[in-house]
Amino acid sequence: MPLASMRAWLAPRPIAHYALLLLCVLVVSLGVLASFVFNDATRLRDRIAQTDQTLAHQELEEAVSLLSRHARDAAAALTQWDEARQQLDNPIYYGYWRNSRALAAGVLPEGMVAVDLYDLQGRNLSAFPEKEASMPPQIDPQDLSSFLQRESGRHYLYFFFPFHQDAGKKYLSGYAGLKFDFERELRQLRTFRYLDLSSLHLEAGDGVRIPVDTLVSAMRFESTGNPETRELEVLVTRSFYEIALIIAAISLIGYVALVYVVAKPLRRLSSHIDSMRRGRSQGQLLDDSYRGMLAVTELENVRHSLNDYQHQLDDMHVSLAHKNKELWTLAHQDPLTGIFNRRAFDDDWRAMLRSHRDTPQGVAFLLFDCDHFKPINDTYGHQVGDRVIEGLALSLGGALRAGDRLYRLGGDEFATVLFATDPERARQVAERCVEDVLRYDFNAYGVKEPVRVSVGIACVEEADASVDGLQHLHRQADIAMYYAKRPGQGKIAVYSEEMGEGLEAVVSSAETSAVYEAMSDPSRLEMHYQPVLDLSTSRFDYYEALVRIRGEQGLVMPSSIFPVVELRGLECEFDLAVLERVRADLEAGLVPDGAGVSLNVSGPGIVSQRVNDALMQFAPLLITHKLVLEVTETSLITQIAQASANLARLRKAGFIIALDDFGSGYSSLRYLSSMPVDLVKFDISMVRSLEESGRQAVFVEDLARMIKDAGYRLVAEGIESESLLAKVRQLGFSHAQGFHIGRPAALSRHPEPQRASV
Amino acid sequence: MIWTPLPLLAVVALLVLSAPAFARAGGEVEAKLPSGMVVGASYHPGRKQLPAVLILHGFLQTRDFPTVASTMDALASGGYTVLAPTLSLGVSRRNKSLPCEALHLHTLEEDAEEIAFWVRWLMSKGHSRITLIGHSYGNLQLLAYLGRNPSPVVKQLLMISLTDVEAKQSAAQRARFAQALRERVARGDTRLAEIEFGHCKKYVSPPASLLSYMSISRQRILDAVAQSPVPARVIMGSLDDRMGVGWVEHLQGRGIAVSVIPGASHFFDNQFEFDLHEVVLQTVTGR
Repeated sequence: MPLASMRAWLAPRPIAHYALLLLCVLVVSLGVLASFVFNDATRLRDRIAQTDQTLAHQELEEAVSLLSRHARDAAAALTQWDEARQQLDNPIYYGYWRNSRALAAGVLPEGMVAVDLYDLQGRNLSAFPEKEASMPPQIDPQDLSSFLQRESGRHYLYFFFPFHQDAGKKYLSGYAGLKFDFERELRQLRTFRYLDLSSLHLEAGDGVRIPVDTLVSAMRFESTGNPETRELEVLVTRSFYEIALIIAAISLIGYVALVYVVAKPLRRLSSHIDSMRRGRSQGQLLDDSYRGMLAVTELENVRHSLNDYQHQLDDMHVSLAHKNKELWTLAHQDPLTGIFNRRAFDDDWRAMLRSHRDTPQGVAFLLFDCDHFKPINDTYGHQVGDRVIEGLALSLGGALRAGDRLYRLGGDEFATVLFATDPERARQVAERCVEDVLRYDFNAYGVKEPVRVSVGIACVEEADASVDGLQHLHRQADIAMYYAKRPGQGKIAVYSEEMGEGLEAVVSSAETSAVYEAMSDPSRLEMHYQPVLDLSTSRFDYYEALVRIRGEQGLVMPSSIFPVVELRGLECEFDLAVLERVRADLEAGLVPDGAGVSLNVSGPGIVSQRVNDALMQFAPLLITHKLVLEVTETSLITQIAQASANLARLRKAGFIIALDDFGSGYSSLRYLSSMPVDLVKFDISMVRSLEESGRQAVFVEDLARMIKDAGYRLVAEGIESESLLAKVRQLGFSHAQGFHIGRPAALSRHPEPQRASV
Repeated sequence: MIWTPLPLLAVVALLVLSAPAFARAGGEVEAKLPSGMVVGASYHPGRKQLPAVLILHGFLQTRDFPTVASTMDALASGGYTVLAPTLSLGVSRRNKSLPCEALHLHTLEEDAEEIAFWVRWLMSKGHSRITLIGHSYGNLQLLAYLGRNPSPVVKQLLMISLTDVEAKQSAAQRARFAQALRERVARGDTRLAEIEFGHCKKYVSPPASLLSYMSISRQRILDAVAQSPVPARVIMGSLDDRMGVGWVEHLQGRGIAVSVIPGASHFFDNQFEFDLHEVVLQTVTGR
């Protein structure tokens, strides 16, 4: 047998199969035993039948002998009968005697079929022997032997004897013949115990005479069997059947008992263990039977052990559930603020997406971001930063509706999702949040500057609610939030399609990839230079280096680059890449000697040691080129001391410091006065107001004069007309910049400074 | 005449008690009739000075019939020579009573002839005085013998329970039977006749044989007794129901001596056989 087949054959099987096998073995054993018993019984029956046949043979011999004696007695009675003698003497009325008297007178035994008398010559005294009697019409006085003869299927025994007139048998009167119905006579003569008289028959045909002395051997017969032996045989057979039946019944009961007492509980145990293994039992215990316990002690012990084990497992399960809950809490709770973290947000978001398919409803995604948190963190340290984060979480959480969840997605970014709402209500919640943050006392942590949050809101109306729409909410809220962070946007913005045009890059993976690739490979940066006109000489004094990134879809403009940089906190790294690229241009001689270059450095870059070190590497170029560092006033606010120190050191090294976008932010004159600044670049919005009549133009004119008078040189951005150029020139601006003067372009395309046409 | 048994009771009882010794002295005799038929009788020789007694059995019976046998024994015990033949009735060596249904080939004449044979047989034995005793129908056969030239040695006739043939069938019936038989005989019709005859419901016999017995009638009986050549006496039982009412009176009316034993039946069985024996002995001795 192959090994695999043998293993399959020896594989475990249900106990019911073994019980069935045991039952089958019992049945087969009973069958074999029954065959043995039947064989023995058959042999015994054959022996008994043989004995019975012998006894039947003996019985028949005895019966024939008795019948012969009986016939002789009848013959004796006949010869002593007066009427018979009378017939031999005077047979004139023999017919009457034979037919009316011979058998009816009571002299001869009953059952005799016929009797006839013969004269001395052996002639039947009957006038018509062939009609009246079935006795031979003629006998041979010399041969009076008796014989058996079959006639019409019945056997008749004939006896013939001489008829003497006297007791001394001296006077022979004639002969007599008696005829017996063999079977009837035998039946009347005796009771046969072994011989079946009904089976008695003669092989020879009708009319053949069988002498009495050979009669028994000529007869064919069957034995009835010994009744006691037959009864014993029947008793043995019946007993065997009864025993077999009892054994079969016991086996069946045993099988059923085994199935119910062992197999079924075992199957239940097995099924229960299997359920436990598959985690389907759900803490259910294996119940007992109606008796309160299993019938088999070992199985009951197993059940108890299993239930105890189940109890222990349940306890462990409860413990694990607690642990899991704690773990879930740890995994889903922000350890600093105690509110839900990014993981919880992701889980809830996925759950919301699933449930939203069934019950769509209006959803608003609110994204909170702390303004200038990094400078605060850098200025006051991480501990204060953490306190600010805690304060933000407390104030935002307090402003939300009961049941709304506040998530800290990371750093200073928080989010909440409002259900069954619309943009207006979402805005109200956002305004409450902004106000609560403003009211929160961050001064308690030592933070002097006001802490604000910008809120980006993205909504999906119930009518438009779809899973696809929900999946874009986060990105849209991101865009709205950055929109809100723009100066003058009121800190709260609800996403609209128009926002996506400018801030799409913030969340665009293409722009983000371009930024990261440019940082890793600054050669991908493409610097466009916009000339800045010295109004006193009408020559291009220097060029402002404006960065673009060469991407697969064309140039990525600063409006797409810087939101990504700021969102990702990549200011320093991006500054370093730009500086490297500009330095390469300078070193490559793309910028003609004598012409200057202005470099835009981010707030974080100003306070960054690495950026400062990179700037210091420009020092050798200061010999041939004028280098201007443009920094925004907002970038200086948070770490103004460090920024001032670094700027002072760079200024000392030869860099000219320009305050960029003056007028777009706080425009605090206190800050201006405290910072080492050489040039003040009026924001384009302020310059454009000069062309308008009104208070703002006056205010800008006065501001320009005041700053100029304070010793600063002024640069006007956004000069797009000659009149505006004339205006700034009139106000005393020293430099002007704008499309009217020159568009940003690769440096080779700019005219020589000396050949400026403006 | 009503006879009272008391005076002789003791004597008869003594004789009966001693009977076996005498009976054992008797024997069976056989004789061959001229017809070749072998007949038998019980023969008890007695004292020569006493008359020999021939006692004949009743209808179809044998000498072994109890009434006959006991009377024979009583007589033998009394020292009488007693011969009790068995009529052959057409059967050689007949030793059993003949059933009614048996084939009856005998005739009344043959019966009388056999009686005559036995009377001669007694005479051959040296008996010169013979008393005939009959029982029932045997009396009619004895009367038939006496009516046919009886032997002179016959001195006395004693008839026990004399039969009245018309007790069962009336004279008219018997006349019709007889007429029918005569017609058959006249036609030569030998087929067996089956009629009620005597006490037999079915009596089978050839017409001629049966017709011989039809010659007997009540009147002829009374005449035969009354005209008997020898003294005749009749012994009847008062309770003999086989006879018609007034039979005894008929007999007595004809001057026939009748002894009636009170309480006895036709067969004088039980204790009445002693009464019978006493009367018989008394009659035979002539006391």
